[in-house]
Formats: sequence, C-alpha cells, structure tokens
Amino acid sequence: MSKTILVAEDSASVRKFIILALKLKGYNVIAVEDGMIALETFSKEKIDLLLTDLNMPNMDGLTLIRNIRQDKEYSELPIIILSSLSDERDIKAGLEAGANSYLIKPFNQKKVQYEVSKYLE
Amino acid sequence: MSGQLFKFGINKPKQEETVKTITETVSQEMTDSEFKEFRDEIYKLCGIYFTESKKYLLEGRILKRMAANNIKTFSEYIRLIRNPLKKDELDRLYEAITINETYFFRAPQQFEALENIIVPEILANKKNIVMPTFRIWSAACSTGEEPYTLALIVLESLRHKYPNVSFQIVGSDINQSVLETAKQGIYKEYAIRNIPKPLLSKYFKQEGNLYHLSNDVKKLVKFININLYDPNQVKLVSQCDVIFCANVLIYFDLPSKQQVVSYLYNALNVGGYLFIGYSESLHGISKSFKLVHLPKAMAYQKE
Amino acid sequence: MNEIINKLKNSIIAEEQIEIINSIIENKDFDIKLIDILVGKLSDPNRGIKDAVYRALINYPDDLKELVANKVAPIIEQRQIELRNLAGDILLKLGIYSSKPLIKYLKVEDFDVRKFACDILGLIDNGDNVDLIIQLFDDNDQNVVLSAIEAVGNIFSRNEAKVDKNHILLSLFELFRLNNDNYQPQLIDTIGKIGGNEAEDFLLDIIRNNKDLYLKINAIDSLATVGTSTEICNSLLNEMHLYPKEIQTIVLKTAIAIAYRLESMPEIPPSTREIARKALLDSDLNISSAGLVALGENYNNDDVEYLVKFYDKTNYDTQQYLLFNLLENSNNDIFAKFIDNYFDCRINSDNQSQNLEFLITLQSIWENVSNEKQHFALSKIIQTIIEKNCINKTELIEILANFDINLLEQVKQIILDEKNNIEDIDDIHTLFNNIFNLK
Repeated sequence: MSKTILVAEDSASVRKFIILALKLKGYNVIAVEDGMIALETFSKEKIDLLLTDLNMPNMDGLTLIRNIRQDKEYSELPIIILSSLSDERDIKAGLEAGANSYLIKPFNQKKVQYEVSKYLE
Repeated sequence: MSGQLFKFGINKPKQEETVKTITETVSQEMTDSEFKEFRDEIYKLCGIYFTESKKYLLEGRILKRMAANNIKTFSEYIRLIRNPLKKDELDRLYEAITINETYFFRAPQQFEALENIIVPEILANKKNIVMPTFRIWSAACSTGEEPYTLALIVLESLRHKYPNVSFQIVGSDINQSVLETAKQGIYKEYAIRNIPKPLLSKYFKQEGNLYHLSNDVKKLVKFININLYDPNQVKLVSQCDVIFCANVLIYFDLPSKQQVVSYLYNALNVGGYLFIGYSESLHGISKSFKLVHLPKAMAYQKE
Repeated sequence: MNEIINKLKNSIIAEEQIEIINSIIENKDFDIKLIDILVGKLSDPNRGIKDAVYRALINYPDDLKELVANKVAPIIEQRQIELRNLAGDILLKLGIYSSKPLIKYLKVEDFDVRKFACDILGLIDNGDNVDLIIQLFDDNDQNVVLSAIEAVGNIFSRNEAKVDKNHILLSLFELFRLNNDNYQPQLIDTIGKIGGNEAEDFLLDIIRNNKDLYLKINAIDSLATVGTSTEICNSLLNEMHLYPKEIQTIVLKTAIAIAYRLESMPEIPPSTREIARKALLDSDLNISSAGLVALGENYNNDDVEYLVKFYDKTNYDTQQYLLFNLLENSNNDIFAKFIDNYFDCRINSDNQSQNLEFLITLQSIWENVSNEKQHFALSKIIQTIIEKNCINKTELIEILANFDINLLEQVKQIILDEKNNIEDIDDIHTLFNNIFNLK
C-alpha cells in the first residue's frame, strides 16, 4: 500500500510541483492550501507524512504542527517544513514546534524527494 | 479553481410530448422572478439561501403550503407570509423548507469526545465554583433527538461522575411545531435505531411501534423557539459550554453563515466548544475559533 | 457614527465589540471614520474580534476599498506570522483595490516582504503592474524571483495582460536556459499560462527532447491549456502506459483537455479507460473531469463503482450530465447497477437529505429523458429505495409525485405491496389523497 503524504502549501503552483515530485516516487498525495484544512484532513484520512509551509492563511504551519503533535496518534508522524523563511529563529521555532526537518525554499524536487524518502522508505 | 478545463451540461433537446408533472397539472410553475422574490424573502427572514438548483424543491414546498391555505397564486402567498399577523403560516413555511432529518446518537464520535475530553476539561476549570453549571445548547434541534441524546449521556454517565454539577440542556429551532413534537418525547423506529439497547430499555417505554421517553430525560431539556439569523433571539441563550449546530449551516450562504457563527461564538463561554456537522467545516467562514483535533472528531474552541 | 466609534473605543468586553461590529456589517454602516479603529483592532489578541474586523473590512463598499487596503498594507511588514497572513488575506479579498497600495512593497529591503507582496499581486492584479513585477526577475533573492515568475503566470491566467507577450516569454526562455533547477518547474508553469504558439513549441520541445522526466511531466501538465494539435493528443494517449502509474492520470488530463478544446474526442481503448476511472477519484477537479469526459456517454459495468464515488464529490451541473448519460445513453442494467450501488452506500448512514437531493437532481433532467427510460428508471428507484429503506416515505412520495403524475398509481401500488416496511399506511393514504386533490 502506498504511503500518503499530506502537503500544506498556499501557492497553487508550488503545490503542483510537490504533487508531481512525490507522485513520481509512487506516493499518494493530498494537497491543501492552509493549515486549517490540513488539520481537518487528519480526522478523515490516514497520513504517513506531513510536508508543510509556514506562511499560510487561516492557520499557519507552526500552529498546525503544534496541534498535530498534541495528538498521541501522531507523536511519531514525520513532519517536514518547507518554507522561504530562512531566519535562524524561524528554523528553531519550527523544530521546537515538533518538525523533524526544515527545508528552505526554493522548492527543489530532488531535495524534497530525498528528504521524504528518509522517513518513508 | 484555476482554469477549469471542462464544462458539463446536457444538450439533448426537450421532448415534444412532455410528461405531465404535478406542477403543470395545477398549471403553476414558479417563474424565475417569483423564485427570486421567495428566495430573497426567505433569506431576509432566516438566512436560508435557495440556490438556482433548488428551485424545484422550493416550488414544491410552496405549492403545498398554497394548497393548504387554498391560495391560487404565488403572489398571494408571498403576501400572506409577509403579513406580521400570520406568524402561524410563517412557522408552517419554516417547517416546509427545512429538512428535519435527525435521530438519536447521530454523531457518536462527537458525543464520545464530549463525554471523555470536553466535559472533564471544562469542569476542571470550574472546580473552584461550588455548584457549577454545564450548559449545552443544541441549536436547530428539530424534533429533539439531539438534545435528548445529550440528556441520556448526562443521566447515564456524567451525573455520577459530577454529582454537584448542574447540567443544563437547551434545544432550539426556528420552527415552533417541531419543538412541540420534541416536548412530547415520542419517537418511531427510525429515530431510535442507533440507541444502544441498554439505554433504550432503561429510558424508553415501548407502546406498539412508538417509543416514549421517560420523564427523567424530558425534564433535563428546555426547548426554545429561536431563529439563529436573528441576533436578538440568539441572545436568549448565552454562557454555553458546548454548542451543537450540525447540518444547519449548509442551508445558508456565506454571509449568513458568518453571521450565525459569530452569534454562536458570542453565546459560548471562553474555553467552550462548538460542534458542527461531521462533513462540515468553518474554513472560510470564521477565524474566531481554534480548531481542535479530537480522536475521530473535530471541534472548534473559543479561546 | 461617533457614538459607534466611541463605544468601540471604550468597550473592554470582547463580545460587546463583536456585537457592535456585527451590526455595522449587517446595517452596512461602513464609514470612512471607522477604518482606522478597525484596522487597529486587527492586532487584538481576541480571535473573535479579529474575525469580526476581518469580515467588516473586506465588505467595505468599492469606493472605500483602496483606502482600506492602504491602511492594511503596512501590516505585511510585521514579523508576527499570523497577523501578516491575516493582512494578506484581507488584501486578497479586497482584490484589485489592493494593487496600488502593494506596489511599493516590491522594493523594500526585506526579501520576505517583497515576496509576500509579489504573491498577493499575482493573485489580484489585472496586468497594469506586470512591468514592475518583471523587474523582480533580477532580484538577488531566488524566492523573490520565483514569486515574480509565478505572479506573472497567475496574472496571465486571469486576463490577457496588456504587456507584450513575446517580450516576457523571451525573458522566461532565457531564465530557463540558465538551467537552475530551482526555477525550471515554475518557468514551465508560467510559460504555459501565458500561452501562444511559442509557449506551445517550448513545451513540446521539453516533452519530446528533454531527458529529465520531472520536467517532461511538468510540461505535459502545462500543455493542457496550450496544446492545439490532435497529433500531440494522440501521441500522449498512445504513450500513456510508458509513464509511471501515478502520473498517467495527468497525461490523460492533458490529452483529453486538448481533444475537448478541439472538439474531436478520440476513441479511448480499454486500457486507457482504466486510467480514466482512476482519474475520477482524483481530488484535482481537472483530472477528475478529464476522466469523466474520457469515459464518454455510454458507461459500462466496470465504470459504475467509480461513478458512484465520483457523483458525491462533484457539482450539480456535472451530476446532471452524469445522470443523463446513465439514464439515456447507457444500458438499463448499468443504470440499475448505479442505483443499487449508490443507495447501498447510504443504508444506516447520515444521508437522507443527500438521497433526496439525488432525486431532485434526477427530476431536473427528467424532461430530457425518453418515455421508456423514464418508466424503467422510476420503477427501479422506487423498488431500491423501499428495499433499502433509505428515504423517509412521505418525502419520497412527495418528490415522486413531481416526477410523473401518471405513474402515481404505479408508485402507490409498489409502496402498498411492501407493507412490511411501511409504518404508516394511513399516512400514506392521506398523503396520496392530498396529492390527487391538488388536481
């Protein structure tokens, strides 16, 4: 059974690039535009990895990650941040919130595929 | 959606010999402008919005009311419901245009979360109060199945755990006649089909194919007639710890949804929770709540 | 108005402030003097107040929207993520009126702010400011450059921008030649959105000649809006099986989109039909629609289970289209199987109103359907609904009455025959009488 990756990213184009990159590697991908929809999706689907941006309307990435980590079922869920925020403070905040990895944009398909495979293979 | 590539429609021409429908038989089909008039009037009254695709539905319901009142034209009927002295007919209209589907234990995951997580959490914050109350509001409760379900949960488990807490349950609906039915507490097979058997035998008395709710349960619920779109009426219920508002918002359009949700926000205590339908979402409707992810359910918390 | 302003300024109770703002919205009391105080409250810690202010600001009348945008725009320079995103959301909802206020932020020092402003402009601008955005192609921050490329694409996908296409395309082709693989996918996407012959040639070149599978797939995806030849459509259909399984639905989408635009739908071989079925379940609207188009108007047995799942996720127009094909253009047993499967999913579940909606949608296409098909369909539906006990009887009868009054006797007989399932024979008799009395 292929693994399911949830992608939270507000840019439609970047969403598309991530979907294509992950589908090429055989993953099932659900892509949403903000943290609120992402959190709702957790109640409806089985998710094996979360890839999230930080800057999103309605619920930003940090809030999303904190909410997910509060749920015992998802304490081990691999979470990767993909963000253009490159400030050290942002990276620290992301990892402290519970993310496993932090990728700095621009999106690079090989980097994302590699990072995801670290957790799902 | 960015650049929709396909558009669907039916291009087969209408048949020459059309089948007679009931509306044609009574030689009455609602014109587009009549539909708009009804749609706008209903929207003004209660926030429910009939989209173009629901024109058939509205037409059928209005025709029924016209027949019941012996009225022949749509314009006559709209005059009737605009008449402030004819509240009765307005109530009948509300009954006709709302879908009153409900049954006991319709959302077991939400009730479980309420019992196991939310009640303990909220009461922990009230532990310095000598005789605290816990108020639950079932908004748009129709014939009462939801508030009575909550009452069953209170009686069956919460009361023992929290003997000094006064649990209050309010059920409201825009439609007075369904509330009258709710107060009777008499239900048929369809409504009780999800009730766990032990609860059914403990709290209901079966007479033929009807099930009568015991007085203990009925006593716990207060029923009030409230139009959620009217801010003054919504204020009749306040300081709630939990609000259930399931399968109601889907009938509103975005502005009226936003309005109603804002009223519900004000009706909640800080730390209180709002539950909406399982497949519904407040996304795009309200930013005021914190989305809380519970096991198998979702709720919205007022922080 | 001054009274309202004072109340807002002085109130310390959140619910009170929310109430005041709600009545401003309901009464459309959008005064210019309120803007400052409302914008100030965007940073209120109380979320209910934030929500109310948000709704108020985005509903301001058009002649004041630019003023609101001017007051909100500076907030995008603040560091707090939530507040910045809220401001961005407001600027987005204000639409074109936010363009002028945002332009100056394309030149600030903070690259995050430049990017943020550029992103929003891409979603709201009508093309007037494309030149300013293109200047960011030379920005020293890669994310800003990407943002600018994306923004240009977004602007073009909404309107034929007033700037010369070729001029922009040349800049984009040049950027592509830099071979920066951070830029390639976005460049392909934007070039596709700009469209035209040169764009099509560029995409075809990548599809035919580029060795990088990832770039090829991006190009195929972008070709959906640009492709103009049946040749490429056919070669995509023929080569579909060569692509990785998960990507095949995207190839299908592009092939079908081109064929649809050219109004020449090719025959879909059985192997492709399987891919079309899978496409139906995709969450991307264009992919699932392509799947539906590819299946044609005559459905077969294997299609049914996918059509059932697809039906609930799609919109009203598509539902009508689907039902019409099922009824009129497909074999009776296919329609029957659909009905069996559709209502099967709904026993004991929460979907009474969805069942009713199904019938209402069916009714809306009823007059387009031939008589024999109507009779068959109605009998099948009634039989199934009663068997599976999934619609409230009174509602069912009322709706069926609207279908065909001549069939009412038939309906009545079938229902009465199923006595074991009916609770209220009396109710039904009364109801029937009422319906007949309407004549």
